[in-house]
Amino acid sequence: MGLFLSHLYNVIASFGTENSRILMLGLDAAGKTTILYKIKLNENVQTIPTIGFNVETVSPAPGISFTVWDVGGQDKIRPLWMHYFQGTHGLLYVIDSSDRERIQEARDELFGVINNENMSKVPFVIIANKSDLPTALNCSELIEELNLHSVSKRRWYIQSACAINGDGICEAMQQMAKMVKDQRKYTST
Amino acid sequence: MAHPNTSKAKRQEEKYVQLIRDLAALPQNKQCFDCHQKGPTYVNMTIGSFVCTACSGLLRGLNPPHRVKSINMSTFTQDEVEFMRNHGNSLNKTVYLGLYDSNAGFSPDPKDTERFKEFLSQKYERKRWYVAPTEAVKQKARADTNALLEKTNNGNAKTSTNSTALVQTPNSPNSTHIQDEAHPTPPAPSQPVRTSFVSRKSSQAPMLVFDTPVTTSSTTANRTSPNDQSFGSFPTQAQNNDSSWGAFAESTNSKPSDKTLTQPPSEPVDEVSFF
Repeated sequence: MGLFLSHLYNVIASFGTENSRILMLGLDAAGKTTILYKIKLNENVQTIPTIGFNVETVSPAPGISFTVWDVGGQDKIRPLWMHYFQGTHGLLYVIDSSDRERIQEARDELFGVINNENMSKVPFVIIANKSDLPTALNCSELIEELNLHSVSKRRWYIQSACAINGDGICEAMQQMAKMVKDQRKYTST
Repeated sequence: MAHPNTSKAKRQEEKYVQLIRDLAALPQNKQCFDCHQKGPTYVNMTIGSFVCTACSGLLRGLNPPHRVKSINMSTFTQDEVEFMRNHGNSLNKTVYLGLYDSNAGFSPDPKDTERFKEFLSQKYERKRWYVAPTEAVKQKARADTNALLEKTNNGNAKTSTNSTALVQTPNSPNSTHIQDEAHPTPPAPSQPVRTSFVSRKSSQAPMLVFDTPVTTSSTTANRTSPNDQSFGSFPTQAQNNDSSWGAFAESTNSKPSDKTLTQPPSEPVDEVSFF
């Protein structure tokens, strides 16, 4: 009976993405930690700038289970990002879409990450956070600013979001799940 | 990751961070601007104040968000250093708390997050106690900061804390330096053409005075070298994966607010072993 149940569990689990490892990066104060705990607890927690990382196992939708690594984004600790690359199935890149001054910086860091050899096959979702703020850029402007048209031969998606009221977060995670699943299927065959 | 790796750029970066640290060590900046906790670790680049970690978290949640930077985990540009030098906590106190009366106004306990957030919202979003700074106030703040910086850079080994000493010490070396610089110049002007040259030179003297104690004084070197060393140790530690890794993970285990982080039991530990 136990054997049967465990077998059944395996079959069901194989429908979803079996605990994918998701890396969440972005500049400081983009809203990574807020998003992480929004997914985990569906609450707005008061965060402080992350030194190091936070990690949570979340299931944003039925059948999806992610281990999300949220790594601090201040400029001196960005070189540490590379140590999280290996074994990552998906990248969530969070951008403060209202911070127009640092869009270029965000773009440079993003391309630094996705051009790394360990990340070359990893699909990424850009979360354009803080879309509720008046100065926020919309998705098409961001695609232009981030020069995303130049990204070829890989799957990406951009989702406008607001971590505080939860808009767009679920959509981003579902998109992530879909892309990770496809990617895994593609690499395993 | 686009980071300037050339040693020259790195040295420049270190210099700016050291300047920020020097500013943060000044008496008026020694406490968090918002909650008065000792030893600020962040700077608020929006208004130019020195704040603690907890307040930096609250400040970036304001609407519009303030830009905060960690003193230890960030790099600074010359403009940013200049900005911090020209602002600082004492100037901001006359600006953002200009009309504030700690007895009459409410001064919530920083531990009471909700009320403290409300206080910050009143302070920055509604600008309830805001007084626009006049040029005179700005200049005075700048002069005060420069005098104090110079005093610390002159680096008399005895750390004089009383205020009279603060005023006295920068003046006495200055006057002697000015004389030293000025003495060779008076015999020179014999022609009117030269006087312009000399006057230009003498107008540069204060700059020289400001620079000389910093670069030549051996006491200064003695004073700053331990700082440099301790600072220099940081990047190497950060780059050294193995040793920094343990500290990195360890510090973060204690970091997130206890009540929110429902630590998943074994999973992350397994993941950590991956490294």
